[in-house]
Amino acid sequence: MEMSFREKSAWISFVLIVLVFGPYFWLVGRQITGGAHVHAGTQFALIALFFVLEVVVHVAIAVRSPRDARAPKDEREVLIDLKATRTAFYVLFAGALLSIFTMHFRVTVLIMSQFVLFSIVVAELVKFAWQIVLFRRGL
Amino acid sequence: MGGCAIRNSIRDLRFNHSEMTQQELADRIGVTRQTVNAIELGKYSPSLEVAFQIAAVFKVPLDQVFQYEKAKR
Repeated sequence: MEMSFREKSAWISFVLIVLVFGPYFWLVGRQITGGAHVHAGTQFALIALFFVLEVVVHVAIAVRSPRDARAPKDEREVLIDLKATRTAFYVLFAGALLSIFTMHFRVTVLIMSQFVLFSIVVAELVKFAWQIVLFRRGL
Repeated sequence: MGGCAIRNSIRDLRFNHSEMTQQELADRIGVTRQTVNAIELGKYSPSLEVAFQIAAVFKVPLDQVFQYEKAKR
């Protein structure tokens, strides 16, 4: 079955998160274990890159199906969005608590910010994954 | 919610209304074609508003579009 604009959007965001933040957190992991160095500016550069790629790819699919892209979310799409966001909230909540606990390991502010960013990224990944599941499986 | 199922006759009604497409029905009730498809396949139970809109499109009572059945144990 042909995907709706919102389902395509969820797939795009999911794949971009994996492609952009996957290698980044692999590097951060090596930094924490002492094997590599990640410059603080890399974090902001990657977040900027992610948003630029999101806009470019979304514009590209919107140009291919402008009618779908312009249409407001219908009730099923809103419900899927709400359910996925609720699930992602619990992930973000747990991630925020774990980030606070890093304080007890005398980590630097930069490392703590990596834990916060990691929590946000994982929560977003869960949100888009759950949206895709609900679009495919049904509510 | 468990132990029951909502069935529908949308596919038959579309066929009997000049073979209306899912996209045509979707445009008339203000949802996406994928949502009409999900409703037809029983993957999504629409709101009362959308259910009444579907019935209005086909000019039939609501229970001719949707049927509530208790699951057999």
